[in-house]
Formats: sequence, C-alpha cells, structure tokens
Amino acid sequence: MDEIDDLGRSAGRAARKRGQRLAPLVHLDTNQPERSDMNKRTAWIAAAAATVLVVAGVVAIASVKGNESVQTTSTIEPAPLSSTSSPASTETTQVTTTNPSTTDVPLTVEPPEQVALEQASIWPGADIVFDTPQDAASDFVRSVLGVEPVLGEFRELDSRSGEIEVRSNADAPPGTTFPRALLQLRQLRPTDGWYVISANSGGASISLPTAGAEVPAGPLTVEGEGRGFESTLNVVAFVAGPGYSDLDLVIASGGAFEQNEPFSATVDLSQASPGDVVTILVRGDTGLSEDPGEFAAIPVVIAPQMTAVTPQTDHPAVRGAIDFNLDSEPARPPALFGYDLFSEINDKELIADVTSVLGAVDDDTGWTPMPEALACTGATEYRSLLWDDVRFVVHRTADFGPTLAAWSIGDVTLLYSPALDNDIIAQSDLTTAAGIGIGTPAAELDDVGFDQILYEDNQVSGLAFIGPVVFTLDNSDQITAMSFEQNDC
Amino acid sequence: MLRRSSSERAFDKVFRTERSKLVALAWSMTGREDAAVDLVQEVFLSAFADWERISQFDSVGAWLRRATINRSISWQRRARNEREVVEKLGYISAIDRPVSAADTTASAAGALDDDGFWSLVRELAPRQQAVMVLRYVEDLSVDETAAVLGIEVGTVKSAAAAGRSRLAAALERHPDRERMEENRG
Repeated sequence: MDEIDDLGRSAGRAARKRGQRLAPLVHLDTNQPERSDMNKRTAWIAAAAATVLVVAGVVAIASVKGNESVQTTSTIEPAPLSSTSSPASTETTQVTTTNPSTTDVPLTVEPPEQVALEQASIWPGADIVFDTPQDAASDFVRSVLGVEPVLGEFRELDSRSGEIEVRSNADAPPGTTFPRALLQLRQLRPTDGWYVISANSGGASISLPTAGAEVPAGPLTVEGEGRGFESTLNVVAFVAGPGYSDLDLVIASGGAFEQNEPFSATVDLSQASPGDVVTILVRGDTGLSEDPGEFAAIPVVIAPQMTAVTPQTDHPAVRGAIDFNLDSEPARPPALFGYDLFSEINDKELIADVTSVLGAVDDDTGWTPMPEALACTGATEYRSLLWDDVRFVVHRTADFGPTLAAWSIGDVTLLYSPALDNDIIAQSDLTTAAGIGIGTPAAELDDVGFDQILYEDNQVSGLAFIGPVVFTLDNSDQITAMSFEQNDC
Repeated sequence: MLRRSSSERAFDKVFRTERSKLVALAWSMTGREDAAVDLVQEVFLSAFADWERISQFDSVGAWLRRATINRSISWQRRARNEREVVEKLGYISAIDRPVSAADTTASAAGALDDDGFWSLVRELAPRQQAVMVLRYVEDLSVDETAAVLGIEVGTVKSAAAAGRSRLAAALERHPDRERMEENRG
C-alpha cells in the first residue's frame, strides 16, 4: 500500500503543477475602485464562460448501426453579459431517439414547467415523454447507469404497465447475456408517457425508505440489503431529468460474494426542493465499467417545508445521527446530527438541520442570560432547544460563539445547563450507525470503543473526547438517556 | 454599496487563491485540461450567481471542492455516454478520447507515470475517486475530506480503503509492473 501512497503523492504534485500552469494566478489591479474590480471579474468570467458554452453549445452525435439511430442536439445559450446581474445560463435540448424495434420516437424536453404525474417515478423526469417502455428503459440504463443498454423483452402486466430485464454481456461468453435487474414501467397520466417506476434485483434491495415516501430535504437514511465487488454498494440520490447530477453519493458496505448483507447509508437531500421526486439508487459495484451491476431504485418525494409547530411523534429511527467520533482523526467530540462541542456554530443552521429531520422545535428558550449559578461556564447567554427528547444547549459571550455546550437524548436535566421544565414529548429514536440508542442494553456499550467505561449504579460513563458520554440506565440496564456536555465548571 | 464591495473583494480573493487548486482537482478526475478549466469556470459562475449565500458558509473552499468534484463526476458520465456512441462510428481519435486505464494498460509502452496513476483512479467508483484526489492532490486529512464531501469520517475511511485496494489490484495487473519493480530494486 505504501507503493500507492508513493505514486499518489507524486501524481498529486504533478496535478498541482498542472493546475498552476492551466490556471495561473490572476493579478488584479487593486488600486482601481472596488466596483471596477468586480465589473472586470464579472465580465471576465462571463466572457470566458460564454466562450466555453458557445464552443460546447452545439453537440451533434449521429449513430447509425443497422436499424438503430441516435441523434442528439444540444444547444446551450450563454446568458447576456452583465456587470451587475448574476450570470446565468439557459439550456434547451432536443433529442431524437430511434430504438431497434421502432421508428423515430420524439423525445421532447419542455421548458421547466412542473408536471405532476399520477405516480412518482425514478426515470425520466416528469417533463420528458417516452412513447415506448423500451425507450424509457434504454434511456435509464444509458443515462443513469452509464452503460449501453442490453435489455430483455418487455413483459406486459396490463395495458399500461410491464417490466423489462436489464441484462449484461460483460465477462459473458460471446453472444450471451445474463440478467442484472428488473425495471418496472408504467404509462402515467397526464403525459401518457412511459416511466420507470422502480427497479429491483436479487443483489440489491431497499427496505427504508419505502417507494413514494415523503421525506425531508435533509439527511435520509437508506437501508436494505445488497452485494457488490469488494462489498461496495453505491447509494446515489438524484432528481431525474436532462443534465441531472447526483444530489449525493455514499459508498456503503454490503456482501462481497453471493450473500447479500444489510447496509445502511445516509444521503444528503438538502439540495432538493419541496415537491421534487428524488430517485434513490443502490447499485452493487462490479469492477467492470461496462456492467450495469445489480441494482435497486425507488422514488421518494421531498416533503413540503414544515412550518407548523406540531410535535412529530412518529418518525422512524434516524440511524447515524449520534456519532461518538471515537475513531476520528484528528479527535473530535461526540456529535449529534454532526454538531459537536467546542467549535463555533450557527444556531440557526442547527435549528434548520434538526428541524428537517425531527420536525418543528418543541421548545426554544431563545437567547437568555446565563444564571449566576452557572457563571462558571464562562458564557453570558444560553439558548436551549428541544425536539421530542433531543436537547441542544448553545452558549455565547459578547465576543465568542455561539458554541454548542451540550447535547442530550432522553434527558432534560443536564448538569451544567439550566434545567428544563418540559416533559419528554416523544422518543426520537436516534441511534449511532451501529444502532446504539435509547433502549439499547448497556452491555452493548462494551463494544463501542470508548477509551474507558465506568459503571456506577444506574449510570455508565464512556470516556470519549475530553470528557464522558453519560448514559442513564433503567432497572433492566437498558439505556434511557445519554448526554455529552461541556464541563468547564 | 459598501457591503457589496466587501462581498466582491471576498469573491476575488477566493477566485485567485482557489482556482488553480480546483483545476488540479478537476484535471485529475477528467484527464482533460480543457474540461478541467471549463468545469472550474462553471463552478465559479455558479458560486458567483449565489455568492451572497455561499459566502456565508463556514468553508467556501469546501463548497467549491465539492462542486468541482460533482461536476467532474457528471462530466465523466457524459463523456462515457458520448464516447460509447461515437466509438461505434469509428470517429474518435486518440486525442479526443479521455485517458482511461484501458488506454494505459493497452499501450505496451505506456508507463505507469503520474498521468497513468490518475487514469487508474478514474476507474474507481466516484466517491472513491473523490477521496483519492482530495488525499493526494490536496493533501487533506480524513477529517478534512469528510468535511469537504459532507460525509462521515467512517465513510471516507471505507472509501479510501476500498479505493486503495482496487488500485493495488490494478497495479498488480499493470503491464508496466516489472519495470517498476526493477526501478524500485
């Protein structure tokens, strides 16, 4: 492996040199008025981009092989140059596809006008219409999986639905193919076009979320089973449509050989908008670029933004929200939703992030003067936030912060933060990636990897980054609460 | 007006300090100098269009790197699709074809040099590529890589391990292997 590091470092140096050669430092005349500087920069970037876009603007690819033809014309128009407005670009695409068994099939990409289909689909976007299921399936395989389609026959289930097998000839004897996954297709109103509504295979399945589920525009835990080359499963989230790009891609670990194994991954959907249909694709790696691999895909719908102050009491477990950070480098404190202690944070962002998962905040003290009894914390103000049984306490002084001072689950009586009167409204079901959370037997903490574990009556302290995570236990030694807090007093 | 000037200066500073680094990232993921420059230009256009918001991020550099990596991955996908169609016609030339491991291994004289290393990296899964280029081009730690990609540290570690394992396997198969061994010896 050292050999790879040696090669990598050398290649990295070469890449940096190339970057400096291709993009030398631009010296600005800083004596000019600032406004002029910006105009020059805007015009320069816009002009350069315009050149790029115009050069790349017209792409025509024509392919003729037997009775198959593909013709693509893409026109990208640069936005008008302006020194005061933000640059922008518009894109119009016209694609004509002929598949082997049909005559020309027009594929029309309309301007971005939202079309509400009767059912969420994984491909194509609602504003694209394919007249045959074969065309929809081919476009999915080519555009999303990045391989040339090798498809089985369309098997009709009823007059408006059916399924098509995605096959592969990679590493197969000449002239043979083998199945990889099954696409479910349906003709959907109001466009009456054909859409891929889901995909499944023996080597990949998604159990969470469910197809068509409403999910927040934030972290989304995807669970299921799968297998792939060297255990690698690619979990991808994207909004279908022309020119799409991944919202997120996470590598998960599944089975390496014939057996599927459970996987769990958290994809970030924060870039999606309410109403967007997001495709969640789980695909086993094959190590072969021409093989689509085994895969499963479902659509989910981004929920409208939550504005009502309604306690959400029935959300699913959020695996991975708790991270004790025991193997991070450099060391980091235990974190909740990625927020850890001792560094400055934006409390508004914290609220937005947690709200996107747990719903509206149940209790917010706002910025409140710190009681004298807790002056030892060094903070002059605190803000306590509560979602169900999840609490964050944020501190600040006149010249520093806010910083996260404590987080807890199932406990509103943190030692070094003002107590809350609230009763716990509901259990949040947050867990670590390994599933440690409220209700977990304390014995499982032995395997978490704390530097040291201290047992005292109904409490367990797991030593982590500059202090312990404190777990409270019930009479059957199950975890009822956990907390981590700044203990400067 | 004063506030806008400050914002503009901040953009200029970021542009000047980050551009060459981002081009290096994009080049290592595309293997094409023109594409790398174009992609980074698009990233800055995008950043400029939404600068009021982006400039408020804790780390603008992380956002720029993530945007560059995402665009490079999308570019790879588009290029692969286009190449497969065009190759059917026999129109593609060696110059037009993005450098890939297939090119490297197919060429008996093709030494596994710096470019060859990146062509092997480009055969990895996207997230593994991202982790590798941030590690070797940017010298980022696991923690910094996780912050840039917005993923868990554990995910970075697993992607790095998987990527290195696949690179090691590719190196074993590389036709230039014997010469490398001799040089090392």
